[in-house]
Amino acid sequence: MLYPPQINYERPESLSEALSLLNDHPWSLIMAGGTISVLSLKKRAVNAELVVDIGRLHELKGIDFRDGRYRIGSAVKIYEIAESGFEGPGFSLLRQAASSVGDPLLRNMGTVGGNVCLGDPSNDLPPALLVLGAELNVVNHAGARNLNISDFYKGPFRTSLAKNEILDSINFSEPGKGYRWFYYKHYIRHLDHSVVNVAALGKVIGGRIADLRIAVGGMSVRVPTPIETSWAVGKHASHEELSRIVKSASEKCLCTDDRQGSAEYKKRMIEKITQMALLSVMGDAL
Amino acid sequence: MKVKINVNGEDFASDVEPRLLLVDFLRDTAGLTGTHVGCETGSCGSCTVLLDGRPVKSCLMLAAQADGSRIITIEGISKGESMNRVQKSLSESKALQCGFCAPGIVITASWFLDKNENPDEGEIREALSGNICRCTGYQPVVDAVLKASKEVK
Repeated sequence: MLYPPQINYERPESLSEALSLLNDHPWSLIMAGGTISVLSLKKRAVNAELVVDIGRLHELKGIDFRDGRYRIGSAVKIYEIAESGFEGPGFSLLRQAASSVGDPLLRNMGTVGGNVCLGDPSNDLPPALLVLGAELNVVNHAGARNLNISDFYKGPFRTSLAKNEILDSINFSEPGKGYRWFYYKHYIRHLDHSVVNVAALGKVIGGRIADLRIAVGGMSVRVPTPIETSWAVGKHASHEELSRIVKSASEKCLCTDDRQGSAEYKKRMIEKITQMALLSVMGDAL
Repeated sequence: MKVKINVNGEDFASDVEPRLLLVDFLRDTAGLTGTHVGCETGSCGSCTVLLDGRPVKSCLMLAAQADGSRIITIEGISKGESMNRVQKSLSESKALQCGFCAPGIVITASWFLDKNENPDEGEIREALSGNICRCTGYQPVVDAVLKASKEVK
């Protein structure tokens, strides 16, 4: 039987109560949906003096769109993104990533904040949020700070979230008309860690690349990683540019031979899926 | 800690250990053993129940997390001894073999058909992707759910 160890459990009524609990008990485990935290407890992968359930905090709920900008509360369930009716290329990209998470039942349980804060390289939302340039609003008992998601991931399962902090919300602007998007996850078996997932967003005007953003996740890169593409902006969308970007993506590969496949295989998959992303985003311009 | 959960329309209140899993609350406290414990890691879906109307895996949730919510288990998915259209179709088509995954599959498929009038095979497969069946290879299950979708609720 897989069973959690004996735990102390608190379900605070407000965000400020949750934050002071975290401040008093630095070795707490934050639980929202439970899909990751309950499993980690069962497997004795974490040792928590207190489990703080933030899943019902109303401050962390809701998807709002105001002045061209989304605010997504960290306790919003994954299915809420997947079923949300917002249009526009930015949200559509995020929706595709959210619809790729786990399976329908896990999407009913897991939260956006859990997916982002776990730091699992294979999670679906981080690459999408990287290309959307998402700002993370992080709070503790004393105040709040904003940071760009590109400064958030420090390594596999490591983020810059301090022990007394909670992710409050994820904020990003809708890039608007003319943008095309792409998201694809490649895995060996369903629910396995993905080999590689790629998110891309871009715009081509008159044959020239006006904006292009790509991010890669998955076990092949270990950390959700943005790909440098700013040098391509302003250039003609051509197959030559495309191969240069594909090459710089494959250089991010920290691939080793393991049960997911050979290093060479994984490198090829990064190249192939980045190429698919670019063909899709640049579209007819090529 | 004190927990009160409404299961199939009946309130069950109990003083439980915080680590008690929802699936064990249902099986041991509420005495409803139709919800099965399979992989215990959230992969197989045998423990699927409806939590406030949406299917979840009850082995990956604490009973404490479900405090105050409404649960429907396989025992409550249809009235009394009758079967709903998914159960009828699975039974008539002999779509299952050992039946261990059946409670989870019935819960997920019934929820899915309630919100999707005319699903195609691909949509049914996607909907059931969190419920593993190790006997059938899925085709008979998908066929039976497709057949059920064409029947009146």
